[in-house]
Amino acid sequence: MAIIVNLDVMMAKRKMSLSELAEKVGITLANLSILKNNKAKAIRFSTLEAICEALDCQPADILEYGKD
Amino acid sequence: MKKNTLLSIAIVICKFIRVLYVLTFLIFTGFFVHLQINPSYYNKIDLSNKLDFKNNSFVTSYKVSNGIHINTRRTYKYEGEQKDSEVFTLDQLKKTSLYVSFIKYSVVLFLGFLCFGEFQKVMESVKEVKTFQENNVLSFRRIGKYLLIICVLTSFYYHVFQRGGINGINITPNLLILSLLAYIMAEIFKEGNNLEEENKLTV
Repeated sequence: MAIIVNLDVMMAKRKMSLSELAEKVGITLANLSILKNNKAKAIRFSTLEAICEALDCQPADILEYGKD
Repeated sequence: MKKNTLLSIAIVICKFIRVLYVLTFLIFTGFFVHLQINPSYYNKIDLSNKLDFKNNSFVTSYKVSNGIHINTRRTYKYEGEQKDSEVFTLDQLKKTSLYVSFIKYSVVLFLGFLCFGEFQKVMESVKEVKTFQENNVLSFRRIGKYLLIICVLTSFYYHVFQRGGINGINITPNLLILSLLAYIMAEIFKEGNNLEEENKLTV
């Protein structure tokens, strides 16, 4: 996949667990796992905004483009 | 009418039709067995449709009353002067022809039974709000395939009697159209399935 999700890196930097982040963002643990494991096909701006707010970071810190 | 009520009615109708198919098969088999035990009982049943053919005849008819219907038949007699009611009766049908017809119509009934079974499965999944799933795509493809086979099997007939024969082509495009519709539905459900999967993976 061309878009790489670096959510686990940011979570480790902020020392935040997946369940804690899910609670703060307001999405299910299952959906957050899909995002973390690069299984997601799309991400809503509202979810991205909530994640950035919870992790105090920029979208570019979470998403990265890499050639296949 | 609520969606679920409508679907429940459709499921009940499907079940009822499947029972009818089973009953038809049982009656058909009973009739087949009885024909072999007592063939003289059927000496009045004339299969030539009382068209009074001469030695060799060839008739083509088209009907548009209940959908387009093309029927081409050829009838022949080994001894031309005999009446149709003596040559083309059910008891005069040769054993091979009888067995082939029995197998053919049994397969048609069985495939019809399977078609309604698949349709019932689709209805049940829609009722459980699991509309767009891979199984429904497969079900519609199977329905399309079964209808196509039924169309091919019912498109010809070949009856050999002791002193003559009837053979012909009987094309009903309705089944072909239904088969095509089933394949189109399969494609629509496939697209729906893809969209639902994409929606599930949108965070």
